Amino acid sequence: MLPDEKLLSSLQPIMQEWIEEGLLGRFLLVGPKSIHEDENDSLVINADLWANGSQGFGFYSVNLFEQIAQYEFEVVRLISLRTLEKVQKFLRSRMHCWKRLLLQ
Amino acid sequence: MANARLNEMQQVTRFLKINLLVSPSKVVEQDYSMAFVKNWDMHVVASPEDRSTPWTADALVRTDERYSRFALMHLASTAGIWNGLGTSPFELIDRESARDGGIWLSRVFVNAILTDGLSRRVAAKVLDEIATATKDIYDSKIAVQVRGTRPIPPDEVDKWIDWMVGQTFSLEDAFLSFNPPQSQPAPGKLTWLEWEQIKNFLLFSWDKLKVIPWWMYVWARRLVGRKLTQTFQTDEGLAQVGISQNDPMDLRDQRLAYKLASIKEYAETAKSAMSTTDAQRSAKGTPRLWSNIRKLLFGMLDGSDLSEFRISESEGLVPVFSNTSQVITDPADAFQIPAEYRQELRIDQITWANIDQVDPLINITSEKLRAMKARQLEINSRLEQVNKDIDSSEARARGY
Repeated sequence: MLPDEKLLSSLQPIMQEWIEEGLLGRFLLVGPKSIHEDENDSLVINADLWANGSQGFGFYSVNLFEQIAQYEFEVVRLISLRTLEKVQKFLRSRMHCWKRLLLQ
Repeated sequence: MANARLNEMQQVTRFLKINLLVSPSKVVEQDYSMAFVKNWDMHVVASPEDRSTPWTADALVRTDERYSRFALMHLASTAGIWNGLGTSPFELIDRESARDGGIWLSRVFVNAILTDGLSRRVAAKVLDEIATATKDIYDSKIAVQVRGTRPIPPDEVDKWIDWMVGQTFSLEDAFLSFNPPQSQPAPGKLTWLEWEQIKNFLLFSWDKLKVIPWWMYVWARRLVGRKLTQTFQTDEGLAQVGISQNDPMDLRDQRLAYKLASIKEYAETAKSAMSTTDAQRSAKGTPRLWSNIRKLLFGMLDGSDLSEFRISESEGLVPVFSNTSQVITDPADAFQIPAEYRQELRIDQITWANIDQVDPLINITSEKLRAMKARQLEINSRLEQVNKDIDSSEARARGY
C-alpha cells in the first residue's frame, strides 16, 4: 500500500524497470486513489497488478479482495510504505480510510 | 472429522501487517509518533546511513530518484517480493514479540540480492520460460532481449517463414527441391515415299494374316479344352484340360504394367513419409545441407550471423523470431476441439499423435463455412432487394 501519490508515481517507473529486468516477482499495489467509499458507504479497494493484458505487459487495475479470494495463500503481507516527511500530512488527510482497512 | 478440522487449521493464511517508514538522510526533527499507530504487527524504519563513500545503496540519500530506488529496495525486501525469494525476513520474527512496541530497523545488503542467488534464480526462470516453446523468448517480463536483434512482428511471421522455406529448398543447389524430369520434344514425322507406304502396309498385313491359322488353332484347342474341363472337371475340379484360356500379355503391356506398379510404390512411400515424424523420413542429404539448415534456423532465433543468407542488419538490428514454436514444431502442442464438436468427433484434442483425425474436423468446419457463406449471400441479396424497394418507394414518394 502506497498512500502517498507522489511517492507512488515516482516508484512506478522503477517498479516497471525492475520487473522487466526480472528483479521483482508478483505483487498487488494499492495506491491512494485505489481506496474509496462508494455511494453505500462501502469500502472499495482496487489494486494494480503487473500482468500481460490486452495492452501488453503493464499495471492493470483489479479488485483487491477478488484477487486475494481467487487463490490460497500461506502468507499475505500487507506493507504500507510511507515516507517520514509525509506522515503528518497523510495522517490528517486519509487516516479514516486506511484505519478502516486495517481494522477490517 | 478430526482430520478435516486439522486440514482446515493447516490451511489458515497468515496475515502480516507491516508499517514501513522510509526517510532520507536529512530529516527535520519533529514528533513522528503518529506514524506508529497500534494497528500494525510491526513497525519498520528504513533509514540511510552515513557512509564514507557514496558507492552504497543507502549512502547520501536525498529526496530524488535515488531516494525512490532506496524506498523500493526496502519495500521489496520487507515484502519479500524479490524474484525467487518469496519470504520476508520479518516473517521469521515471532509476532507477539514484534508487537511489544519496538521499532525494527531495516538494512538491505544489496550484494545479498544481486549476487549468485538472484542471478541464478532469474537465469533458471528465464531458461525455463524459453524452454516452453509457446512463450515469447523476448517477452518483456522475462527480459532476455538479445542486443542487436529485432523481434519479428506477428503479422510478418508468415512472410519470414516462407522466406526460410525458400532458402532451405535452395540450399546445396536446390537439393531438397523437386526436379521434374525434362520433357522430350515429340519426335518429328517420318517422310515416306509412296512405295514405302505400300510396302509397310503389306508387311503389316502379312504380319497379321500369317498368325491367323495359329490363332484359329489356339481357339479350337481352347474350345475343346473348355468343354472337356466343364464336362469332366467342372470349375472346382483338380485339373484344367488343354492350353491356357488366357492370352499371354504383350511384351510392351508387360513393361507398362511393371512401370505402373513401381510408380504406385513410390507414391505410397512419399505419402507415408508426409505423415510420419522427421526421424522416420527417408529423405537424405549432405552434412553441409543439414548444418546450413541448423544455422539458418538458430540464426533466426538467436540473431547470430546470417550474412551468407543475405540477412543484413537494418538500423543495427537483425530480425529474429520471438517464439520458438513459430518455427519449430512443439511435440507437446495440442489443439483443443471446440466443445460443440467434441461429441460428434469423439475426441477432445488434436495432437501430433492423432493428427490423422484432423480431417473430420476440417470437413465439419468447411461445411459450416460453406453454409455461412451461402447464408451471407442470401442475406446480401435480400438486403439488395430491400434497398431497391426503398429506392423505388422513395422515387414514388417524390412523384417520379
